[in-house]
Amino acid sequence: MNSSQAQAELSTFAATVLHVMETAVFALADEAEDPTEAQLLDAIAVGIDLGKDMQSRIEIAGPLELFAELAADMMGADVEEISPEQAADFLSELANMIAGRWATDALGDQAEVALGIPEPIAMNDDVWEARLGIPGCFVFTVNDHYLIVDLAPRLA
Amino acid sequence: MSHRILVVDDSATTRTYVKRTLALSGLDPKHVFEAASGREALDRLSQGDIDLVLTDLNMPEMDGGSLVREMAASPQLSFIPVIIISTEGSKPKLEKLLRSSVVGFLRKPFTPEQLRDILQTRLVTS
Repeated sequence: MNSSQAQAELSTFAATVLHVMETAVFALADEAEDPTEAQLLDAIAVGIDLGKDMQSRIEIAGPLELFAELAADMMGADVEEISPEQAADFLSELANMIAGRWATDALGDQAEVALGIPEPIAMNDDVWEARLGIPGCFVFTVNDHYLIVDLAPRLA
Repeated sequence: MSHRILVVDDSATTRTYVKRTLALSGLDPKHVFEAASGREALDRLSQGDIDLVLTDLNMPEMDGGSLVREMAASPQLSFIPVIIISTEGSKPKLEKLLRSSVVGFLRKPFTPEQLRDILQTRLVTS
């Protein structure tokens, strides 16, 4: 893959994330102007593998509070009613939706992709901070929070 | 609508979202049942009285594809229509499922209107 193809695929990936956020939870997300400024306070993370025709993996991290807010929106509940387990469940489903959409967006609907089951990742701030600003690691702002979505292996 | 619907998804958030949308569509919440895996769904289906299954594909324990195949192989369950609700858009996989009792496919993420539309179509024709 040359650099322009990789750049095009990365743009598609960012668009996929924005589409999922808007459709699933009516949340307007924007790409952060300076990804390196992302804060990771009280964050949780999840990873999902994409196998068969697409050997890739997506990892997502963000504050528990953000996922509680988005889960509340999706479930029609007040954020105070959302437990940490429900917020984490929402994050797993978000990863599932982004991975499934991205697989088809990138490879077309004739490809065979085997999605893994989203698995929680132990949060390591140093690891995530080292990724910020690297192509393939996207930082979005949603509801005044940072959402980090990392596509690996990186395409660029 | 007085249909009895089984919602199968490992995500409790998604099950709640689907149940809420069904309720907003006029379906009595008492007629909507939940299962977190294909295995749980088969247990619930064995009790009878389900008119339609809405199932995810990508689930631990027993996935939606296995659930559809088990239902198709059962004389008691093969007549129950199934709608797939999944993030996956792979046509080869979906075409295999559409040869069984699967009558529709809705791709996640979906809007409440999209769910209502496919249910109205399938419940009328099933």
